[in-house]
Amino acid sequence: MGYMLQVDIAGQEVLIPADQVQAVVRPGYIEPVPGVAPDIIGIMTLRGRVLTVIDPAVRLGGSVGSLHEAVAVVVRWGEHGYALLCDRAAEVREVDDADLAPSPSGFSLTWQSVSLGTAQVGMRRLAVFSPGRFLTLFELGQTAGSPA
Amino acid sequence: MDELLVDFLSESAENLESIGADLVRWEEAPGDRALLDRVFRVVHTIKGTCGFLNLPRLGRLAHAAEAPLAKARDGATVPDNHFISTILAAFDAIQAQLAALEAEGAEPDGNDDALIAVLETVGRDAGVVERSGIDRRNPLPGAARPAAAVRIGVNLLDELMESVSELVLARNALLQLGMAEDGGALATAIERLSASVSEVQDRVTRTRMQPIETLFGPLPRMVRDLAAELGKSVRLDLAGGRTELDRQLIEAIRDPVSHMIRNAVDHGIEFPDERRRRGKREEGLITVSAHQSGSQIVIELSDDGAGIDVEQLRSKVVGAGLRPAADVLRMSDDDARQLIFEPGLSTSRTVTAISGRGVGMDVVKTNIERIGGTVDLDSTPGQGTCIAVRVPLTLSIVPALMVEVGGQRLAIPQAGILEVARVDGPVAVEVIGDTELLRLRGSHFPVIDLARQLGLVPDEGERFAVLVRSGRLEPCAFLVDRLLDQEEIVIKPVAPVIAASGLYSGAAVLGDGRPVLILDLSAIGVAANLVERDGGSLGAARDAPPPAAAIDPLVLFRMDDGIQRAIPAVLVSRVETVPSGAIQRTSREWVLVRDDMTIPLRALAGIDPVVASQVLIIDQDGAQMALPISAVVDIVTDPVVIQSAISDDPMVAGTAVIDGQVTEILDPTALLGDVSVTSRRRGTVLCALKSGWAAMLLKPALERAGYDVIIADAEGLGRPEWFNGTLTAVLCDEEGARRLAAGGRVDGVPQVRLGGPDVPRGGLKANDRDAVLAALAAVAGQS
Repeated sequence: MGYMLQVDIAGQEVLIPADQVQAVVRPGYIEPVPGVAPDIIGIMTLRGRVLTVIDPAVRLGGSVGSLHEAVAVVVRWGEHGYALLCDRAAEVREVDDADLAPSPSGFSLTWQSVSLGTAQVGMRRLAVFSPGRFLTLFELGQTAGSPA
Repeated sequence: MDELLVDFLSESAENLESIGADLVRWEEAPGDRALLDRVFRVVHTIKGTCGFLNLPRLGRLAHAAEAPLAKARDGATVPDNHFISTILAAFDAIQAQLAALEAEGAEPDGNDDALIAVLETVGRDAGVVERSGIDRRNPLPGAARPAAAVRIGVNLLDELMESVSELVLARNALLQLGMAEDGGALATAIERLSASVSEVQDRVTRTRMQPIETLFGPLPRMVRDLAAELGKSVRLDLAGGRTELDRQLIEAIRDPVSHMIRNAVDHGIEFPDERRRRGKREEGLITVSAHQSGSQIVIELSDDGAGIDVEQLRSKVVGAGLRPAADVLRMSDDDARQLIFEPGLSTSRTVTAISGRGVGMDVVKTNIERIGGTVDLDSTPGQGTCIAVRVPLTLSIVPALMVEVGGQRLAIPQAGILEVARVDGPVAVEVIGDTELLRLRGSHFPVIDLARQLGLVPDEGERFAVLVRSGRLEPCAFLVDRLLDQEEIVIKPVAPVIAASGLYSGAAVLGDGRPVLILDLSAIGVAANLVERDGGSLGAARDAPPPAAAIDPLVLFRMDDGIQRAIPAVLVSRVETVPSGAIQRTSREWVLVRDDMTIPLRALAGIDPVVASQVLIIDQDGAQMALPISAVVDIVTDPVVIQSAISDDPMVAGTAVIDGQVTEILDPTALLGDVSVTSRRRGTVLCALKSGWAAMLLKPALERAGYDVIIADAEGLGRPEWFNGTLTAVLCDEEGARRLAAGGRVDGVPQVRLGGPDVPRGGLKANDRDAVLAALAAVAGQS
């Protein structure tokens, strides 16, 4: 699977396949968007593009971090760009295919539907978060169960 | 698809498009050598490339079309009408195959033997025809291209444009920084940078521009074919073809423009004999011109046809149930002409293959407005119609008004804004019933408080109203806290998760680098149910009863005896002017003769209907009746106090004083009286409704359905004969039920309850006659 970016999303350390990430930025000014789901923090600009800023913690549960310390993982989904807020972007890891495994049965339905499985990183096993799956879930407005 | 093939397709499409106008002009000037050369060259190029790309079927067709053209160029034949028609047919076939090729990526199956056979005979006629006017020495011109050109995908241009926008923002930021440093080396460098950035921006914008000729190209052919099909004679004049506008924009207005021209040929231009009768040239004229005006492109389409028949339009709109009769009657002719843009309207009496495709002017207007443009229409009966379409120079840059609502900056595209006003003094928000209306120079407009719609807290203090008319929205006022400034913004789409809110049509990046949301006022208005009319879910979602039932507007009119009379406006479907001799008498009744049908006429005692100059057409459940009048005076929407009838005329329900003038209120029940009453008796219904008008409006429908109707009012409740066991059902509202229960006289009689303001939604409404009848039938069946 190659390189993965290790970030904290919704209070959990997860891996995001690096080829799905366009950029990791510190969000600048975020314009709020009234009248939409609470997950949508607002819109921001990046190199002339308008990105929709989403805090995955709202849908995935877990702690919502402070906006000041957040970093945004920029992904493209469909025709649009999104900035997913993370508490911390740690580092890029190389993951062998051999280190990948399906999601454990203990995963909540929500986590199962947004992850591509798990990967072994050093001594730890982390969920592989799929921005595409998350945004699909988000667009459908379905939270298939709440996390523990 | 193969890149070569893609290039071939787009180049051929361009060539064919550019030649479209030439082909038609050719008929008028068959001896035009330059024209013949151009046509020849297009076919020749297609033929050559077909061999190269291995497209045997298309190649064979192009070869067959080339042969007669070559003969004509050699002077061996002179193109006549038959010749040109055949070549036109070949062009059509080539175009169809190119389209199939584009869709499928391969040549369509089949062959063109029949067409090729005809093309061969056209060539063979040759030598017989006298050679004239053709200069054989003229060599094939344009063999060398005038300037080197490279094909670039539009995507790349879009990306380039995006990069330039970013460059401009960065330049602006630099300019602000550089401002601090006075006259230094940095400031000079920034100035130079700034100048080149502006130049780049200008040039990139220009790369996306195309002359509007590409849009005009196919029009002459279209008009020619349409006119021929209809048996009309139409000339199309095109002007300003070199006006340039954004390529995407040309695509966006292509369909609307060709639709309006179809309309002009089909509905506007009269048939030749009709034109002769009106003293016009037999050949109709349609003019299409384009020019730039400031940052807009104006495209004017005018025809010298019949113009819009306002009366017919009015009755169409009312007849199709698109608008209440009262509104339509009240409109000035100018306003009524704008009804042509009403959704769901087709003004042609007959649906034709040409423009009767269910695409109306409303779609045209919506599509133009979607790209930030406007459509204005002016029409003079008998002289023609002129439509002016204004679109911005480029699709993605539109002027917008920045406003602030609850601390939030938002953009409103200027295209739909009619006016901006400070809410103060004479401009005020008034609460009428449960509705807020903005009073502005004597008119009232529905109000949408943007802060409330967006869930924001408005600032304390003064507010501003932005008066907007857009799409299907009736003009309405959007309240904002502050007006900021105007900016040209580049519209970018918002993510589906934001678009789903129905509040925003896009976003943009402003000069300060911050994003701003663009409000979709049309959608917000629709959600607030401010559409001029709609059938279905939106209306049902509204809790308040429709205003028609609440206000009961009356149409005021005069009859020949000078007395002012009134009837409920909901009954009137239109006002018609009566041609002399149209009011006639049969042995039993008066009738209005129109075309080949008659409409029963209700003559009031003591008034000679023959002298009436107008009639009110009263429509009740499909049955029509005409009421002769001299003139409509007004429509009153204020509540009216009706006193008891002083006349013995059964048609008169009572009198009222309206604007200081005594007015007889006609009884709709008596007026409609014997219009197709069903013979089957279903029983007796007691109406105990708070609104006397609701009962009066329901009564004719109930009677026609076979019920005897007794209307209970405050006095009538005491009359015992109503409760003697003959009642089939009681139709009542909250209040009526209470009063009846207090009397204890109608226990055991099934009740049909109408909803009022205090009944939750889903209640039966007095103006929904069918539902009321169904409910009555249900309870009547039980007893």
